[in-house]
Amino acid sequence: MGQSLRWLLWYAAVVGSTVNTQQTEDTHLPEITDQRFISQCADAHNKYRSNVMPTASNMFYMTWDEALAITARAWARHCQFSHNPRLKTPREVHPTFNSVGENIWRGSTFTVEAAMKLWHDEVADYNHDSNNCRTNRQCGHYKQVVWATSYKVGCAVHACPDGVNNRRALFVCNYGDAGNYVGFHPFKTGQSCSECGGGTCQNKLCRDAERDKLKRYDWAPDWDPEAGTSDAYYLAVLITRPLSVLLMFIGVYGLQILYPNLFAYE
Amino acid sequence: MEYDVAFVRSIRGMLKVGELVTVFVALVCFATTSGSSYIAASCMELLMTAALLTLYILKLNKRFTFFFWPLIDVFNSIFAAAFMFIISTIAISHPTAKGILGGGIVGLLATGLWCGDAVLLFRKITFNQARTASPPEK
Repeated sequence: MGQSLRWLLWYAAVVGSTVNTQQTEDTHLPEITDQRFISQCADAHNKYRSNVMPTASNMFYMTWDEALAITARAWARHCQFSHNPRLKTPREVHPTFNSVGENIWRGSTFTVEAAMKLWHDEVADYNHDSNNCRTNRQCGHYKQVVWATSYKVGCAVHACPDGVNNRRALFVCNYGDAGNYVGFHPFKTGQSCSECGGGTCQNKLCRDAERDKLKRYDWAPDWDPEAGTSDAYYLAVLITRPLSVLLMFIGVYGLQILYPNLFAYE
Repeated sequence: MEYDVAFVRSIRGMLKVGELVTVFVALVCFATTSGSSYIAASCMELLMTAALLTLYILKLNKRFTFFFWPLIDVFNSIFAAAFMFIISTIAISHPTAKGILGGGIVGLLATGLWCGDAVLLFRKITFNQARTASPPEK
């Protein structure tokens, strides 16, 4: 008896631990409301944007956008290392931007700096004069990071299954307005801030109080894997099912009193 | 410790193993994306069915007769089928990701198995007569 009980407990522990490890892994990664994560993402982008060579005359300062981060989180939850197919569909990816840009990074040890560096390092494969990438090389991530008119960014990181036991981080950033328009340079060359069109200049980047304002949204894309599975729903499942087990035992015990001659054929 | 391996080869045993396999596949599907409530729900069903199967294999149902296990089993199958049906229909009607849709379809399959399990076992249970209806004893 003691042995079987131990076996049952062991079994419960093994099945239970698969859920637990997933939760602990998730807590290592920052949420999109984490202020440190938010400033890391925005600062890293602005650092690379203000240091472009040659200098840019119309480079906007980039600020965080809640809705873009929610969109990035929703796509990261799909755990696919490819672009969101809805990027150009109005009202599917953002309440006000009709189309947004996207960069994706995947790796086992996530830091904002590591992901941003990988994207920015594509600068080596980009020729600013011809506006082309070197053959068979990517530079789209770099171009999006330094796209002058992209002034809002929202990023999210999510732990995705990779094989049986490993989990890899998927880091997604969405940008408004979208960059990487074919045939256009990411930014205009010239003296820093000479073509801002109003506003102030800070660190070679164009600032504008209205443009840089943090907006609040009530935004949830309907293609989010966790849409509709809010915490309340999760709690309801966790409470009703064990409660039904309790009721079941009480009910059967009651039936046994009511029908003492209960019998089941083998 | 005695093991009742023959149970696994019986129809009801195979149904239980089938339920375990399908709900596990559904769990894996849900886990590829992160619908935490889908994962929690299928995980609980997996645990419950596994516990019952263990009970039968270890013949614990013969040892602890305090509860009438066949009825517990029937009720559990009904609850599991109802829960899985609700969760799978939600998953299929809002397929926010491929994994959720796949998990929903496999979940419906599991629902069918639980229904079959419940019906099959319930038909083997006789209530005999109720105490209220029995003639006064002398």
